[in-house]
Amino acid sequence: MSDAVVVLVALPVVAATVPPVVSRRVDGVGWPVAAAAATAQTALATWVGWRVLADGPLRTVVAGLPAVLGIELAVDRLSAAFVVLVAVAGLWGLAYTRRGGPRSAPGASLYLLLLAGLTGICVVRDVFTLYVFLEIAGLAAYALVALGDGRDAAPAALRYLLVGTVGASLYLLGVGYLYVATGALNMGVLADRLATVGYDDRLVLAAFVLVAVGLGVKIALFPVHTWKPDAYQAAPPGITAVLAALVSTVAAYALVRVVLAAFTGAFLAANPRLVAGLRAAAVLSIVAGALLALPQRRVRRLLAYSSVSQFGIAVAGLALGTRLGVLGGVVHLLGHAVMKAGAFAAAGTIEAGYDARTVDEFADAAAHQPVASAALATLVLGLVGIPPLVGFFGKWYVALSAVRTGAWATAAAVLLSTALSLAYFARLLQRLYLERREGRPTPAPVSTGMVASGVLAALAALGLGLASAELIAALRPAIEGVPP
Amino acid sequence: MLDVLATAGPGVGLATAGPGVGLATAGPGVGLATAGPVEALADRAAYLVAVVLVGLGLHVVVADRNLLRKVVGLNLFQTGIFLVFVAAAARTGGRSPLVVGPDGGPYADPLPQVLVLTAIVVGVSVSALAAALVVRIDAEQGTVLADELDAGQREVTERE
Amino acid sequence: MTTASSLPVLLVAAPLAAVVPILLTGAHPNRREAWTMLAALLTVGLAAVTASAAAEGVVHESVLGSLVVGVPLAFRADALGALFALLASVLWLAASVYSVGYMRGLDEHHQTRYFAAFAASVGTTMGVALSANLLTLFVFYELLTVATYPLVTHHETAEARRAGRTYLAFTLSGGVAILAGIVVLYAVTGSVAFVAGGVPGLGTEPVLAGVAYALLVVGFGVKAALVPLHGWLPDAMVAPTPVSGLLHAVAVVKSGVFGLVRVVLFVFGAGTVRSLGLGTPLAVAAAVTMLVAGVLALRQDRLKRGLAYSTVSQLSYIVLGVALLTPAAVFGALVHLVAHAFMKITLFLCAGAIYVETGVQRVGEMGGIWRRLPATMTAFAVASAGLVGLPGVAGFVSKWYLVLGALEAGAAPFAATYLLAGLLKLLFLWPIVLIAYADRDAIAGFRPLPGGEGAPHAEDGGPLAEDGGPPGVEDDDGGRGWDRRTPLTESSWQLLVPLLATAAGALVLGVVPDATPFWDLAAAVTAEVFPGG
Repeated sequence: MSDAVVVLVALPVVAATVPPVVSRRVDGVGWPVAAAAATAQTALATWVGWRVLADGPLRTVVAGLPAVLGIELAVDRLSAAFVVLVAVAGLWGLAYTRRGGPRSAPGASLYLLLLAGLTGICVVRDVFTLYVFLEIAGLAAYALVALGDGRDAAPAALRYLLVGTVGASLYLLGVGYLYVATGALNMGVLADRLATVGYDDRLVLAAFVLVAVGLGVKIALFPVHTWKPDAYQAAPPGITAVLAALVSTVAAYALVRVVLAAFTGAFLAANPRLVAGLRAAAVLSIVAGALLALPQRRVRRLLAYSSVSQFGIAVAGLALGTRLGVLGGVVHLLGHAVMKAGAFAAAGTIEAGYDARTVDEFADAAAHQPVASAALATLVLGLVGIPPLVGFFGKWYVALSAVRTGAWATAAAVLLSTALSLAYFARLLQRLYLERREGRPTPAPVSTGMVASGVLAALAALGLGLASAELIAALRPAIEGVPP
Repeated sequence: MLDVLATAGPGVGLATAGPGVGLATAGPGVGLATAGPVEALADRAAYLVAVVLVGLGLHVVVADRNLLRKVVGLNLFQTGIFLVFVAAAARTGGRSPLVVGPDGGPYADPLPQVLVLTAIVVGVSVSALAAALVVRIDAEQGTVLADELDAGQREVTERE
Repeated sequence: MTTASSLPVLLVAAPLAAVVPILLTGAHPNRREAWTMLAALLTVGLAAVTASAAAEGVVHESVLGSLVVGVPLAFRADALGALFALLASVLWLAASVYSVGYMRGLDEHHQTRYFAAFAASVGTTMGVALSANLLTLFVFYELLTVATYPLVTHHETAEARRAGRTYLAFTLSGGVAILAGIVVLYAVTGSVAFVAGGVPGLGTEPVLAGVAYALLVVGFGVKAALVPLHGWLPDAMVAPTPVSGLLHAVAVVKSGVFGLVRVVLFVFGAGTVRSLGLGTPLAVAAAVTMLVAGVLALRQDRLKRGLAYSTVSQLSYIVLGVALLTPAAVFGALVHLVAHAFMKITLFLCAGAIYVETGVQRVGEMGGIWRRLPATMTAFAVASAGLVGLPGVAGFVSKWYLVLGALEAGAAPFAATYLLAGLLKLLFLWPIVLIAYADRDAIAGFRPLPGGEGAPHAEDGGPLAEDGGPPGVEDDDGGRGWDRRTPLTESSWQLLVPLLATAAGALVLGVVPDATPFWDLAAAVTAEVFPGG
């Protein structure tokens, strides 16, 4: 049964090898293979998730070696949530890309490799293997960005590559320091050994900073976020939606996992100033992301900067060092993934069907693309934080935990983020419904799948919001070592 | 072989010849305690080189105009990091970790070397992709200088 | 006695459920309007049942799972909630009938969106009214903002969009303050449920309690239009008149006031508020608002803007009553909540009828208009009398109790404030009535105070016909007097009947207030909140 964990990672990898081979003989094989694999992956992920809920974590070490020697893969409730997210988002994205996105065989292959890398990050319990999967996912993402149509795709992909690799390498250096300090790479073993080495050891502290900065680059916190706006603008819209849902989200999960499983809550408790620094970085992201979003005219860049701000909230939750804070951050990560992906899908639908790229060009989109506009408006309201959409609830838990622990600046920033988000989204909402557009748009075909993907995401945002308490209750057992 | 590792696994192996202890008994750490600053620097030469490589690489990535050179800079940066790993694996008087008999030690730590091998592979893939992107940029825009790329890529931010 | 039932949920769901059918029947106006009417009637029925139950002490409660960990999504039809719900549903019925006449009379665009948003607004108002805890209230409070935004920006002109942005900015920022207050409250007490007499445990943390109180008051104060948070309201007058009537009488502003009542009496409780000294600042803010807004109303030449400022002033009657923390004052405040709703909606519906029938928006142009609209102006006069506080119309009774309550609390200055504010009302409304009934020539150019805004233009900058009114509507042909009309011919029945009905309601509330369910409900709330009497 715990082989299922290995299959979770292996399935997309193996499936990724099929399109380039088969496409030599048969045309149009990319999308169907990806769809089949994604469906299987979703089924498997759901099954694993259900098993984990019922029976507890699934755990295996590759090749049957003891954990301290081998590569441990494990799925607990926290991992299960993200594994399911990756699988479902991967399948959902295909609904969009059937008409709207890249359908070539290499594209499908890269898509599956992305899913494989992301799933790997979610199940691995070894800090170095995490790096490997981080880079697998990263490479796939860089290449997928490059599949965009415009001349800006390759430069955006290159920038993403350069910044992302620097980040991953910093993470790797952090892993190296951890190894030098403890001789271990397995998270569980690290947790034990770091306690012995001492949480104030300079090597350990440096490792923490490097890991945080490295993953922070992948999460796109301010000021290492610079790759995100270009990448999201240049990639094919369906890819942007999936990237927005998954890449930074899973990187943030990785940060949560490494901090809680390897460093542990005791480390956080022993280093209040360091944690305060992380919190400050998160707050900076919340505010800076919002300020940078204000003058943006292109909708995709607007949404990208919004992500910078939103991930600040999630990391702030982690940086509170409490269980409620971490859970709030996780809920926010999951909710934001759904909302941002849907927003990109809906915006992409309007882009295609209404020939609109900038906020001004979105004027009166509601009259031409009513369903997509309604979905976009709903998701934007969710991102702003209107209850009962899920965007509100992550903030509630993080703000509550911040107030309880006396982290007033964090609480204020999280609460004010609603007003800040409104500041930059209000114009878009207004344009969609209340203004007219000059000039004639030249629409491209829009499939039902494209529209449906936005609607599904909006419904999911509502559903997750109403179920946030249940989600927290389900995930609570997985968060250990930190005060409530 | 595996038995040896299983009974005297890396945890144990490291305890006897591990970085923390190793540095103290047979590594640069001891050098610090007993010798002067020049010797200390000499023992840590590898780390110094690593610092230089990392700094240089990062500088090139950020500051150089030529995209291809940025990629090279990235490789320098990564190499510096790899060097840290390999240097940390080294042991005074250690030999390469191919077990030849019961009294072959001390060995350098094999694990960081394996990690670096993997990381090199990753680095090569990244560089290949990067080079391919540079070639495409050159084909599409006729230049590989960052400041000559389309103005369209720069941020479009105007006030309403 | 509390009973678990689905009645509160149904009451919230009834208007909301109408939204989809309205959107789907957009192409068939009569069918679409039928849905609105059906929902409105159903809602009134449900509200009546709920109210009679609450008046007898039977509280219906529905719990729909967890909103967040530790706080349920719950509805509770206690006396206060039932009072607000009943008020909102009755006035929605009137406003809906009126809307049909208004929208068709002006041949407005986007009517489907209008009626759908109207239904959604009422539904979310029901949610606010019947919430069992602060967080549920907050959810519906924010949704109310979202639902009313399309109504405020309905005309889609630059002025309307600007008003909409202001509206969103003010109300959502207020929402941030409310949320912050709720978070602090929850962190301190572990509960956000409404408890008559206050949640226990607040007295132990005076500083944090004070912070939470301040945040909640400021947050709710935005919609309750306390000065200086009222800035959105006069600009929101750019909306179609039934919306202004709804915003002013029923939904948005009363939600803000309702929130304040809940916070002061059901979260903190009179005792805690008094012991923490938090009542006086609120009372002062309310008194200041009362007078400042009363003065500002005098400067307005556009009728609706003037009514907006008058509303700001009248709302603080209620807030002050609550802040005085005596049974009589609270009772008076609750009665005034209802009374003002009836009176103000009458005035707005009259203003709208005037606009539809004659295109007039400015007081200065209303000379002698009673000839053209006799029944309408009679209703206007009745409602004005009530607002001033003349006996026989609703406002007198509530004013009586408010002043009594102020004296009871030993706060004679506040009693004086009430009387002074009444005087300002008189100064504002009397000239309008006078102008309407006097001969046009005699009062040409009269204005109580200089001020007002430049050249006349159609509502919200829309297109103007050459004679200065909305296109296609008759005018008075430049200054010789209006056509005489009778009540049967002055206006369409959809416009006239509702406003006469609400005016009649104001009279009933003034002459036999204790015959209305509102009286019993208000008394029940007062008894709940002041257990000793």
